[in-house]
Amino acid sequence: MYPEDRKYSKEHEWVKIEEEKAIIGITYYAQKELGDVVYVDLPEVGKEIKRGEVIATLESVKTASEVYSPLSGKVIKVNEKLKEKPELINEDPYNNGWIVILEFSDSKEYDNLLSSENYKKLIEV
Amino acid sequence: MAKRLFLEEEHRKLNPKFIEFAGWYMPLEYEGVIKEHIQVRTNVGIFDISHMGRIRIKGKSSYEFLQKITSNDIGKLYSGKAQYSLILSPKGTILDDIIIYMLHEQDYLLVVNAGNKDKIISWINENKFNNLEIEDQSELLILLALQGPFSESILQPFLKENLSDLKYYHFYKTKIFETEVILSRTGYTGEDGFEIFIPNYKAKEFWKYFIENLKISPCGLGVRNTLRLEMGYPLYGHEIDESTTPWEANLSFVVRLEKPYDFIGKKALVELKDKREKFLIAFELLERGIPREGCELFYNNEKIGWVTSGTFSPSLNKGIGMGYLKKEVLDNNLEIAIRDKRIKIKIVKIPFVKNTSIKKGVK
Repeated sequence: MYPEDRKYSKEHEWVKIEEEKAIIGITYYAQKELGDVVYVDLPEVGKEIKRGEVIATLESVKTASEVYSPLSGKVIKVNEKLKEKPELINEDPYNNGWIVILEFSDSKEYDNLLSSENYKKLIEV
Repeated sequence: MAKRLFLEEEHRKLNPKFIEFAGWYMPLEYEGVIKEHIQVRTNVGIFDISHMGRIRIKGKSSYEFLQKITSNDIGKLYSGKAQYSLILSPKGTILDDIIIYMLHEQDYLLVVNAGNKDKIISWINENKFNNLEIEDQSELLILLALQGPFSESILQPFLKENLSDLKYYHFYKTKIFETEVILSRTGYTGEDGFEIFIPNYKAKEFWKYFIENLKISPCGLGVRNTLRLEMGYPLYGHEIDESTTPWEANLSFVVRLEKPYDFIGKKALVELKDKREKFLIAFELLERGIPREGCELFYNNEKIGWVTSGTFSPSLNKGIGMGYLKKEVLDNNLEIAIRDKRIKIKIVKIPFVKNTSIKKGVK
């Protein structure tokens, strides 16, 4: 539910650093709140983005939800599999349900994110 | 404070997502709307719909009274027959859509929308005749809906009677698990199925048996909505409300102007017959997207209507919805505004999903 190999935002996104790039997705809690995801609107590769800006939109049966980028940077890869299988976000939010990969510019932004333990506290309030 | 279902503890064991609906705290989804939807369309699912209001009306003047307050003709009823009907205001607008069950001569059960129960009870009391017994029986009976093409075969082993003889919109008293229940071949999903009225002290036993022994998928309000919308069934507060006439909502089939009773709303309906202020449509999206209640509809760039209900159709794999247009439009230059995009839509005839297992035509 709160893997420790990554950090979290207050808006229920997770960030995992791999080879100096940031992989971003939404948490188990977020996908549960959202319900079955049916459409995913992904950003264009190459898009420059600031922390807090909308980086993707997820449409579920219930509602549409925006994903806010937890870091500033440039989109270098998007998860094309989500176009055919949006349910990966519900079924495997921390691995195959990843959404975008960013080349990020400010490591302080990453440091300011929540640890697994602090995110857990936020949810369990 | 939201009202709690009698079976809430049993629901909690299955770890659903809960929401508040019509003043009740209810399961929205258990395994997920899409999985539950596929179960009901291809197999069988079970719903706890005990939030619905149940009003018993008995007495010498019950027949006359119900003819007065409803739009359909209960002269067509006999013991064991049910009927979909409307309760109208004097202006001809819809106070509620209901199902009336005729138990015996002078003995009827009305099933009304949860959110309208208090309103309808007040309305009944305001308009009642002498020689009428009115009782709110909502707490006495639990109401479970078993729906899906396999609902008959899964239930049959537990009954003496031949379930295939129970026709659509008919019901009877029978025994299941040694308990007297009312079994009705009705539903809100478009599939074959049964609504079972169970005395509350036995409800837990029934629910547990269905879930644990028969392994029937529990279904919540989320899938109840996707299923009914795929059939084009109206939902009170969306397609029908106190500002809508049956003519506008395409419900003229439950208005019997010819019945020899001056029912409440009749005069207004006669006057309004050809004076619709809005036109109900069903539509599909021609591009990716999901229509939502309140989204605006455009015709040649002119704002012309709004969405009353919208969702993703798991059966059709596209966005579908219903809404009203201020003008009757026959060609297809319609668009919907979803957030900041305009998406083309196409008007279709309901039901959106055809060939479901509902046993309508079986005589």
